[in-house]
Amino acid sequence: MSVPDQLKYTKTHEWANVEDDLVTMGITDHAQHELTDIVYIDDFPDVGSEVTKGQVIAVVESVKAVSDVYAVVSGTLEAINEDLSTAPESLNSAPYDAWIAKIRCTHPDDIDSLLSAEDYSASIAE
Amino acid sequence: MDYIPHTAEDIDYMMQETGVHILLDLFDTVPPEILIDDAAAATILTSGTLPAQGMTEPELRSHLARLAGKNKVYRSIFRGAGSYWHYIPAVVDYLASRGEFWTSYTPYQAERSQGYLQAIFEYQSLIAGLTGMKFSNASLHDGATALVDAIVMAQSQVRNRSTVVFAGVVNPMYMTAVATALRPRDLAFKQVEASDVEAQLDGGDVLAVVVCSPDFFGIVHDVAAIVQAVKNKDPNVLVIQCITEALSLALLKSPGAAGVDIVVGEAQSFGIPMFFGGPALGFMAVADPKLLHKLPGRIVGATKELHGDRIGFTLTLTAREQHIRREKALSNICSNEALNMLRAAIHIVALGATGLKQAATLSVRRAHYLKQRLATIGGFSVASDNPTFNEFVVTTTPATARLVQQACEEHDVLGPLDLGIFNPGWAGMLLFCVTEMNTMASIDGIVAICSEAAQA
Repeated sequence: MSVPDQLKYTKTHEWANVEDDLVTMGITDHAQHELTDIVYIDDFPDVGSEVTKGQVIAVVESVKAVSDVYAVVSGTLEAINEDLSTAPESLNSAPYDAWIAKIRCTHPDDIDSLLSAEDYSASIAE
Repeated sequence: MDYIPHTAEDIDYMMQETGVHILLDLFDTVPPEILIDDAAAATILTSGTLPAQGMTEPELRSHLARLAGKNKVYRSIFRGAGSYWHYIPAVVDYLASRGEFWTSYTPYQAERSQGYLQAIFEYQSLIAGLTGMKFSNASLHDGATALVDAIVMAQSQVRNRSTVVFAGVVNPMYMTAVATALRPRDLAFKQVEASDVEAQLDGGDVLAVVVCSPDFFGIVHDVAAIVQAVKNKDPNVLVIQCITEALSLALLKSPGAAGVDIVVGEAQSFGIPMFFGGPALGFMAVADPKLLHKLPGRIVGATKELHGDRIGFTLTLTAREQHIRREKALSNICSNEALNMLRAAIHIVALGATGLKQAATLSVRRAHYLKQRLATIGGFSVASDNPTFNEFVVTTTPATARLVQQACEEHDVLGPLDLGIFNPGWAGMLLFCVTEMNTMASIDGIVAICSEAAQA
C-alpha cells in the first residue's frame, strides 16, 4: 500500500495535505483498495458551510459497499472536487491526486492531531 | 418445500425442541406496552394452523368455491378513489401465468435471469416513456408508499427544511399512509388549493410540493404552471407529482413535460385487477441523474458483456438499497412488485399507445356524459370550474346520498363513494368514476337511480 511520506493521515483512512491553513483531503490507497471499484460519490455539505472534524463530508459508493468520508479538520468547506462526479474511478486509480475536499482550517489543534505516514502505516498493518 | 401452514402437531414439536413454553415468548424483544394481550395474541398466532384432518382436492375446491361465493360481485362499478376498473386483455393473464414468471424469484443471479431482467428493463422504459422522465425504478408496492418514498427522497436533497405542501385534494388514504410512515421525521404537512401554493413558500421551510393530478376529486391541474410558480419563487423546492389513475398518462401532458422532479403513483390501472384493494403497483420516475442515485427499490440496467457485443441486463446501482446501504438507505424497499409489474408491462405493450389512448378517451368521454346528465337532476350539483379526468364529485344531501348507495346495492352496482366517511365537511358528496368498462346502458341506469333517489 502506498502511504506518501509528505502527507498526514487519519485512522479512518483519509489523507491530508496541509498548506498553512488550507487542508486538501482524500481517501488513501488502503481505503480505495478495500472499497473496490468506486462508482459514485455524493452527499457533500454545501460549499461555504462550516464543517467539524469527524463530520461526514462525503459518501463513497462502490459496487459492494457504501462508506462515509470524514472531515479531517474543522473549518470552512472551500471546495469539493467536481471532476469526481464524472470520473469516480479516479479515486481508485489515483487516490492521492483525486482530492475530495478543501477545508480552510479554523482549529490548528486538529492539524497537530493528524497521523504521520509512519503511524498510519502502522495502524493499517495491524 | 411445502407452501402450507403448520399443523398444531408441528407447532408443539417445534416448541418442545426449542424449549419455548408459550408462543408469546418468541416476541419477548417487543416492548410489553405495545403487545396485544395474551388471549388475543394466542388466537392470532395459531389462526393459520391447518386442521389435523386435511382435505382431498375435490373437497378443497368445493370449500374454496363456497368461501369465494360469499363475495359480492358487482355487475358494474362506478367507484375509483385509487382503484380502477379497466379492461385487461386476455394476453396479460396468459403470459403472466407462465411458470418462468409466476413463481420466479428475484433475479439476483444475472446469468440465469436474463428473461425477467429484460422484462423489468422494458417496464422501466415504458414508465419512463409514459411519464416523460428519464429514469424509472423496477416498481414499488403501491401509490401511497411510493409517495412516502418520494417525500423521503426530497427531504434528503433539501436539507434543514421540514414542510411539505400538498396541492390539490389528496387521497385521504394516501395522507394517512404518509402521516403514519413519516411520523418520526416531524414534518409539517399543509394541504392547499393549487392557487395558494406560491404563498406557502414564503417561510423558506418548504422542501417539496406534492401536486396530485388528477387529484382525489378527479380534477386535472395545470402542473406545468405550478412547477413554474414554485421554481421561480424558490428553485430549491422539489416538485412531486402524484397520480392515482395511471391511465391519465395516456392523454394528459406528461409530468416530464411539466417539469416535475419526481413522479409517483399507482399503476394498478395497467393490467392489474382491482382484487380487494390490492396487491397494487407503485411507480416512480425521475429526470435528474442526481435523483437517480436516490431512487428507492430495485433498478435494472442494460450493459454489454465483457468479451463480446451482446447486451445483457443486471440489477444495478445496488449500493442505494438497504441491504448494502443499511441505516443510510432512503427506503427499506430493496424489492419490487414483480408479478404486477410484469402484468403492467404486458398490458401497456398489448394496448400500445393507440389502445391506451382509446381506453383513456372512452373513460373521459363517458365520465363527462354521466357528469352532464347528473347535473340536470334537481338536488344534485356538479362543480364545473375545474376540468376533470374520469372521476368527479357530485354534491347532494346526505339523505339522498344514502338512498343512491342503497339503490345501487340492490342493483348489484358498486356506486359512487360517499366522501362523508372521510370528513364530515364532505357529507353528501359522492365521488363517481367512469371507465371504458361502463356501458352506456349502465350509465343511463345509474342516472335513473340518482333521479329516483333525488325525488324520494
